[in-house]
Amino acid sequence: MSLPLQEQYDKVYKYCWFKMKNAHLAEDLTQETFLRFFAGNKYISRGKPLAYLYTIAKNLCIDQFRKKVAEPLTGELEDTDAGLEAVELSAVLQDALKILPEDVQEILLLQYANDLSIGEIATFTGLSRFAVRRKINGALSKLKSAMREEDFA
Amino acid sequence: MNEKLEKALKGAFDAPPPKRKAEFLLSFEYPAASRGDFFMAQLGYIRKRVWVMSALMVAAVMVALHYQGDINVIVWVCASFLPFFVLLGITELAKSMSYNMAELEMSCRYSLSDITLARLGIIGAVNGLTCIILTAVLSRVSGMGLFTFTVQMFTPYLMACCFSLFSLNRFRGKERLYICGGASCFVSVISMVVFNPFNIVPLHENLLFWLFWLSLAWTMAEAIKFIIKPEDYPWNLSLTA
Repeated sequence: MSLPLQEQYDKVYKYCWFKMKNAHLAEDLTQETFLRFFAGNKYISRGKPLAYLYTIAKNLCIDQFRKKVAEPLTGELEDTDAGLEAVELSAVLQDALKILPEDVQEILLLQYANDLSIGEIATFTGLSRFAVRRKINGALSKLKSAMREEDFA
Repeated sequence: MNEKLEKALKGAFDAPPPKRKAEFLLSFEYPAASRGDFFMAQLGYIRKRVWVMSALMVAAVMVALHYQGDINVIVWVCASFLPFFVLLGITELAKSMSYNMAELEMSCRYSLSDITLARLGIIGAVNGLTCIILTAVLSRVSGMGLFTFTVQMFTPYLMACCFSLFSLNRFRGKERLYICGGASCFVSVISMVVFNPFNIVPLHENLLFWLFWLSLAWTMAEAIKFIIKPEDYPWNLSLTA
């Protein structure tokens, strides 16, 4: 795999945390994802490694959901040096994100937080590129209008 | 607004920092790339000009054959251009050493000599393939025997090979590229002027055969030296770092 392992670890962990909302479980699933990814040695040098990696992570999260109900979201926001406005924006955005369906949130996570390309997201989600773009644009305009309602435009 | 929102979205999915990442990555057994993967990776580092020039050479011969000039002239011109193939290959081999890639490559699974050998193999295979195509096409049309044709065609190529490998083995830095360039041009001009079908310069009839065998032996000796030599580089760099 020609992917930087350190960087991908954080991104897959972020994805698992988004799904499970439990740091310990998310880390277990991340490690299991990498073990399974590299166990499938024949596939990784070909095809689309990122989509394969995220598919394993997603399936592991689904298996985990079947086993038990996830712990509720704590919703803690870590204060950063980015300033008050950024923290406020982040809080408003967190609330606004909740109005979006989970699959759309997932696409936004992959696109903005994990820097996957539209093509990679399309392969992973099984949607067309056009559908992915449409979902992202729709989500952005929904977020914007929700944030306008909160006087954050 | 869009830019601000996209920036905020980047951080909106932040998770608490992972606690067992370093421990996992340290104990994680990263699967090694196979020899095939390694060769394919090296293939990607060879500059496109090598492929383009090989294709152009073969295409030019095909075009020349189509318009069917004097076959001896075609062989003569091809033989005179082949030294520039050597120059292309040599610039690839010198690239790694000229930019001090040895230090970087020391941290990798494959040593500099492995990488040089792989590239030498790939470039040799490309040049070999081009030569086979040229030989297959031209020797049949020329009516010369295969050996006579090979000698006529590839003596300048082998001469350029041995001069270039000689300079690679003895000089350092960018100057060796200029020497290789000079050697290729020199051999090409010699081939154009001396070994032409019009007998401008009268030659002993066996001179070309002697030059062929001499160049072949010298090229092999320099190639062996070149393959063994990179083993010294990591040591030298370790001592001077």
